[in-house]
Amino acid sequence: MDLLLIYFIGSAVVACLMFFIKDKWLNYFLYLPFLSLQLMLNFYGYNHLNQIRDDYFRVDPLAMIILSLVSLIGVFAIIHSIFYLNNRKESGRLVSIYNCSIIIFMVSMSGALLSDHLGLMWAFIEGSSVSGAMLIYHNRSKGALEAAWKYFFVGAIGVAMALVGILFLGIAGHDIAKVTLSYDFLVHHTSQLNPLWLKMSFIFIIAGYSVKMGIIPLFSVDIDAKDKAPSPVGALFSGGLMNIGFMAIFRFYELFSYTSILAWMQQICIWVGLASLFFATVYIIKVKNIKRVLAYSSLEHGGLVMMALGVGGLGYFAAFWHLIVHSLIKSALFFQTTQMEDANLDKQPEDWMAYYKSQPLGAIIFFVGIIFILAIPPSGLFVSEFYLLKAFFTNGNYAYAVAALVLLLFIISGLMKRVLNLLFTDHNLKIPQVSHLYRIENSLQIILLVMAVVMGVYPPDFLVLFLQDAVAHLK
Amino acid sequence: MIQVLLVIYTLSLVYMLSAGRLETFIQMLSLQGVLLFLVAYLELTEVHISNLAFILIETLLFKGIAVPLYLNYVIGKNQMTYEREPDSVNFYSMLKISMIVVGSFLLASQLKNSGIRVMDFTASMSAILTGVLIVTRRKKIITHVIGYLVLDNGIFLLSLSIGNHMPFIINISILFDILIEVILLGVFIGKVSTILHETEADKIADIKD
Repeated sequence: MDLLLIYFIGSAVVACLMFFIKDKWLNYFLYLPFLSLQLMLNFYGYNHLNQIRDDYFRVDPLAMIILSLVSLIGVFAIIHSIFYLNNRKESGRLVSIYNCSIIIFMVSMSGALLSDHLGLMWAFIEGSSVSGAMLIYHNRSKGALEAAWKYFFVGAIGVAMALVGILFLGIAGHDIAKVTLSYDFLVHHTSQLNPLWLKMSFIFIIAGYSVKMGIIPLFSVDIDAKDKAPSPVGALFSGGLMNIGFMAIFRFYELFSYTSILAWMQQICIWVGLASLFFATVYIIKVKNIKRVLAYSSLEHGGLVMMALGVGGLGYFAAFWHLIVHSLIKSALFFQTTQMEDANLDKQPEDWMAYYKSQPLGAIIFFVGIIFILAIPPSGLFVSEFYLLKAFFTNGNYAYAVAALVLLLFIISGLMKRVLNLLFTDHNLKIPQVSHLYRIENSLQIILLVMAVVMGVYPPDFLVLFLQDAVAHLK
Repeated sequence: MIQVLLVIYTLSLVYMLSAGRLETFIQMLSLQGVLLFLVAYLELTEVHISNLAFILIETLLFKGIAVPLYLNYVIGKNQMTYEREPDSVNFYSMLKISMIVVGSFLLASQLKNSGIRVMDFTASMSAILTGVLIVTRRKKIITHVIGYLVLDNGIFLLSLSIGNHMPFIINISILFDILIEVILLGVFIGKVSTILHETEADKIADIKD
C-alpha cells in the first residue's frame, strides 16, 4: 500500500482510538504510532520530491522544509502537551479530546503542505479550523469558549473567502479545456489565465488565509486563540499553522508570478506586510499579557515575511529563512509561558520579576528567547531581516525599508521595556512556586533556541543550498 | 427556467434582509435550499451521476430541510423570535440590498466576456455580500450563523456556475460545509448560550487587550 495512504489511514485510526480510549496513559502511548507515521511521512517526502501522485499530492522542496519544521515543532508540542495535561490532572475525557484534536491538527497541516491540488489544500486547511477550535476550547473557561467561537466562526468565513478565491481562479481558467485545480496543471497554462480574475482571486486568497497566517486583515481572532489556548497549542499555532497559512498564500503567489500580475501582487504583499507590522507595533507597546504580546509578535513576523515575499529576489530566501527561525524561537517562547501561567505570572510585566526568583533557568531562557525574537544577533532572524532590508535597498524601495526599520525599533523598545522586568527583582517579592517541573520541559526550549543560533551563526550548508535551489525559479 | 429560479433566489435575499422575524430568515433559507437543488439539477448536465446525486441530496435534504428544521429548534429552545424590534425602520436594509444586487449586476455585466454567466454571477455575488452584511451588521449569534449559511449558499451557487468543469471542488466544499454547519449549529451555539448566557454577539467581548 502507498505510504501516503498508510499515513492518512493510520492517523485516522490513531485519532479514533484516542477519542474513545479514556485511559490517559494509554492515550499518551498512542502518540508513539502517530509520531512514527509522521516520521515516515517525512521520509516519504524526501524520497518523492517533486513527484506527483494522482494529481492531488506533490512534495516540492519548500513544502518539504516546512513539513520537517512542522513535524519537529509538533513532536515538541506533543511532549509539552503530555506534561501540560498531566500537571493539571485533566480528566480522561478532556485528554482524549485534546489528543485526538492534536492528531487531526497535525494531519491537516501536513496534508495541506503535501497537496498539489489547490482545492484539496483548502479542505485540509478547513480541517485545521475545526480541530484548532477544539484545542482552543480545551480549558473550558468562558474566555476559552469566546476565543474558540470567534476563531471558528471568523475562521469559517475566512476559508469561505479563500474558496471564493479558488473559484475565481477556476473562472480565470475558463478558456482552458478540462481545467483542474492541480497546481502542476495550472502552472503549465498560466498564459491562458485571465489576469483580472487572477487579481480578484489573489485578494480573496490573502484575505481568507490571513486568518491562518495571523496577518492583516483577519488577525484578531488568531491573537485571542493563542492567548486562550494551552501554551503547547499556542506554539503549534505560531510555529506550525502560521507557516501553513503562508504556504497557502505562497502557492497562489508562485502560480500567479508567471503571469502579468506579478508586480501588482508584490505591492499587495508589501502593503499587507507593512500594515501587519504597524498593528503589531501599536499592540506590542500597549499589551501586558505575555501570551498576547507573543501573539502580536507573530503578527509582526508574519508582516515581515509578507514584505519579504513582496520585495522578491533575495526576499524569497529571506521569507523562508524568517519563517523557519521564527517558528523555532516562537514555539520555545510559548512553551516557556506554561511555567509562568502555572505560577499565574503571565498577566502583568511587574509579576514577571517573580518568575526569575521562582525559576531562574526558565526566566533566562525566556529572556534569551525574547532577545532572539527581536532579531538581535546571534539570532537567525537577524540574517533574514538583514536580507529583507538589503533587498529593499537593492531595489530602491528606501521608503518601505525605513518604515519597517522605524516600526521594528518601536517594537524592540516596547518589548524590552517589559521583559527587563525579568532581571530586576524586588527583594520583598512573594515568590510563587511552580510544582511538577521536569528538567526536560526547559531542555526542549534550549534545543530550539540553540537551533536558532546555529541558523544565525553557522547556517547548515545543505539547508542554505536546498532553500536557494527551491526559490531559484521565482522571479 | 434557470434564470427565473435565479431571479427568485435574488428576491429571497431582498426579502430576507428586510425581514424582522428569525422565522422569516429560516423560511428564506429553506427556499434557497430548494432553489439551489433545482438550479443544480438543471445546470450540472455534464457531471458524473454519482456527483450529481450527492449534490442534489445535499441541497434538498440538507440545505432545504434539515438545517432550517434544526434552526427552528434552536430558536424555539432559546425562546428567540425577533432579530430586531419589528417597528424599526428597514429602509436602510432595503437600500443596502438594492445596492448589492445592482452592484453585482453591473460587475457581472462588465465581466461577462471573461467566462461568467451574468445571472449566475449576480445571484451568487449578491448572496455572498448579503451574507457578509448580515454577519457584520446584525447582533444575534443565531443571525450570524444564518448570515454564514447565506454566504455559503452564495459560494455554492458560484461553484455551480463552473461546476461542469470542476465537480471535485464542489464535492469537497459541500462535504466541509456539512461539517462546519453541523459543528456551528450543534456544538457552539448551545455552548455559547448556556455558558456565556448571551445570544447577542456584540456582548461576547470579554477578551480585551
